[in-house]
Amino acid sequence: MHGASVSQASHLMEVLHERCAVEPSAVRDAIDATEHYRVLNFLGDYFPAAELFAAFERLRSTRVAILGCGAVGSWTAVQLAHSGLDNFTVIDGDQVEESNLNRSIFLHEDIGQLKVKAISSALNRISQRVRVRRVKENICDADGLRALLSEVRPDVIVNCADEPSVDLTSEWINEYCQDRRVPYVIAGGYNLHLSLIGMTVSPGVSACINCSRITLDELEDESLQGVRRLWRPKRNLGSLSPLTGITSSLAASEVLRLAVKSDRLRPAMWNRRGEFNFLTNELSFVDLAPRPECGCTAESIRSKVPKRSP
Amino acid sequence: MICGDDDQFGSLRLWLRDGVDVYISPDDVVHFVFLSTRKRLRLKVTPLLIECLEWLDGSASVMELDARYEAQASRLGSKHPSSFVDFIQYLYGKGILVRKDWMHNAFCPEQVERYSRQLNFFLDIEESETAATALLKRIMNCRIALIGIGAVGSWILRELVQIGFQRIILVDPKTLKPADHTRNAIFDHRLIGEPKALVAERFVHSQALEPETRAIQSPLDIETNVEELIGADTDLIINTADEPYIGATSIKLSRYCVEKGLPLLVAGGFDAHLASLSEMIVPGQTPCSDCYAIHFEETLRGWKPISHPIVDRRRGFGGLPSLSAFAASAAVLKIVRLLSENGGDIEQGRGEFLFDEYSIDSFKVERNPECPTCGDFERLQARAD
Repeated sequence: MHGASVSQASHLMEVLHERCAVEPSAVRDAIDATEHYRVLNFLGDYFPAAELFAAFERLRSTRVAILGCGAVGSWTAVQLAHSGLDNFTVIDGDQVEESNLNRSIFLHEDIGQLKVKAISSALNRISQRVRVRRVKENICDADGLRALLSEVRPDVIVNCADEPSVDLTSEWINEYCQDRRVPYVIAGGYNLHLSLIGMTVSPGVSACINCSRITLDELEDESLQGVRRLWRPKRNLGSLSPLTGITSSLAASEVLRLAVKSDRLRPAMWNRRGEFNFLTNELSFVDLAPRPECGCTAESIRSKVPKRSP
Repeated sequence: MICGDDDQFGSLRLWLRDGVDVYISPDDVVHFVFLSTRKRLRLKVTPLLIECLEWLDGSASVMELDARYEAQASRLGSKHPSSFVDFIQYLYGKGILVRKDWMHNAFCPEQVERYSRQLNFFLDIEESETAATALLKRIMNCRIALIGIGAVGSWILRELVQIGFQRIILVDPKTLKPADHTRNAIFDHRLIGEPKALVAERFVHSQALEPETRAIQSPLDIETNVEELIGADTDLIINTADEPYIGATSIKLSRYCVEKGLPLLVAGGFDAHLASLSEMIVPGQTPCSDCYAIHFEETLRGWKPISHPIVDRRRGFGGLPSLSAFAASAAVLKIVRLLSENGGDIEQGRGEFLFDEYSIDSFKVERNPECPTCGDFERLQARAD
């Protein structure tokens, strides 16, 4: 600090602290003393030392509900438990089958068990602190889902349910979430394609699923407009574990961003959805801005939508 | 009409592949859209051939469908210049139609049960039943040495076993620690204190259909004899060992792999960044670790980083399990591409996934003809032969 005054040096330190470049040694020691030092050090890139532990506590205490415990749902759940989240509600009525083992976290010994029970065991192997509420149910209507979520009162919902269809389950979730101002993440499964990365919706802040549909209809491939699609019942579409891994990793990251509840680390999937290309390792995104004609909170939030850097 | 040599084809029960969407436009153009690759094929055909697309559900043989087609054409009084069988043969050749029992001819029922959706994905990529079958068999037979079972290696292991790898040599000198809770995909708090190589071996046996493993509780260091460590029967090495430093362990393994003609995947560990896209090193085809080191030495010449006041920063590096999962997934995709016939470039260069906006930053590095390790690969191979 050659030639700098005490106040200049002090100001420099304040700026470096605010920008997360320095931290007091007491904070570093406190980070080192926890099992979660890697997650804390990661969050330390976004939160100044004075805010870090509070942000982690918000993350840790977030109640997350995962609807659908298949490939993406099971992978998302374990990543969140490894990250330090302790409160889960898992919702699925199916049992683990041999065919699930090529892309889900289930083990051979789980075959025949309920998926919610197998997930609960997996999360408890990661941490004894984890509390899992198991809901052995395949949700089949909006009313049933609303009643369940009203009782569970999650802080964040992850939709991984593609029965009867991901469009329908997303619509049901959206209805509940818009009403209760609960954020949700659509993890994947659009267009029957596992490498899709769904959008994150924060009611009152970002575009909802219905806004996205209006835009996607407009963007529909021109060459396929006016054509009829051949009806194909009982399809068994391709899937591959690493594509599940990528979809779930982004879903888990989005839940973490929602869980810290701070503008310092906002969801990256507001107002867009993405796709990972197997052949080229490339990610691409489609912007899905709020649509006033949707009738959700779009009209009131248009001015608040954060601009994405080009 | 089917006769003579076509009898065998006529007996096949074919169906429209699940991974292909079919759209029909008013001018009788059929659009086949391959869901996994987004490839498209457009064909202008007769309305009767369009109608028969809906018959292709595997319930009748080509011969039976041909008879149905003839009867329908005759009922409509249609002069049908198109041959139904030619049309079907064309679609079969393009991988749009498949045999109903194609998986069962190559795999036992338990394998079909477990891998049917993955085989469908491989069919989308490889575009033929034979190639898709061969890819899964290559995966099942490939012997992999996984060096390092930590923040990225453990997630890679989970995915490898899920997609069918079962011959695995597991190398890690450490034991499972409480802090592995936040990064290790096979963490189990009941197993804290046990060697990671043994925990990993137990995991493989709990999941793979026909596991064949060796657990090795030794480090890879500068003095290690690689062949003594992992054996001489390895087909592919994956390096995620970041002690003393991923660059050092990779150069050592890369030199071994160039000499032996073995592929090496370097995953994780770069600059403590867990969302690296990994590097596939294939001797004679891609740059080796020495090429990368020379490239960065030249590219970064003139940069003068100041020394960091904290000497041992390893504990200070941050990471998220979701980034480990991303890095591992990108790595496993490279392995699938390496083993596939139609899976795109083996190496797209070095890259990183950036968390802020979920973007991928990547760049190409070429083989260095002056590289002391792989520069004269042909001569090296000739000497080895």
